[in-house]
Amino acid sequence: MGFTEKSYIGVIITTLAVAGWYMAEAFAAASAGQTSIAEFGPTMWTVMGVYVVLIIAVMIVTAILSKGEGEEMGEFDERDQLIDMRAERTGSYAQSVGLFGLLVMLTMEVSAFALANTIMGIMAFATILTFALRLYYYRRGA
Amino acid sequence: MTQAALAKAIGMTRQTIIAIEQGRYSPSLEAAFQIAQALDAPFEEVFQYGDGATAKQKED
Repeated sequence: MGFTEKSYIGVIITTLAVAGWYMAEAFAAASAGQTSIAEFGPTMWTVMGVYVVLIIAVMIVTAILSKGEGEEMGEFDERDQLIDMRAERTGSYAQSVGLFGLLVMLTMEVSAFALANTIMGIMAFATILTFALRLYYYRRGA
Repeated sequence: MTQAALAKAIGMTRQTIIAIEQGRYSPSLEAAFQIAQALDAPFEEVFQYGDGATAKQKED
């Protein structure tokens, strides 16, 4: 397993963990009746910031762990491009379906809190799906 | 020639060479010609389609 696949596993695990943490925070806030988006906003931005930092850390750790194996890091050949395009295409389909559902929610005039958390959920799901598909194509063939 | 040397010669990653050898990836035509050239072997000797027999061989 090369650096690329290891990094994808790291991204999937990190996204799942952060998304789970975020959803737990959102659910707790909703249960406590604190559904003001202005009050929940700082939590949202904090989670996003933590996510970015964690992803960077995962990439650095993966690069360090892969260095001794003589893997080519940063190289992106035609196979990598093909896998990337196929996974991104399916991920974008999932995101489009999610956005359509968001439109439906808008017509139902749901709260900004629900809309914001739905957007976060859609982005997390699309990211996990895209990276899982990349992993699948690497292991089973593009 | 090692996988790493072949990969470096044609500008691909070693993982891609491994995938080609294991049949998990079909290279582009350009890449296939580059592989044959790097191995200094005829194209038909490096890549076969299906069971590897040519149409003429099947006819015979």
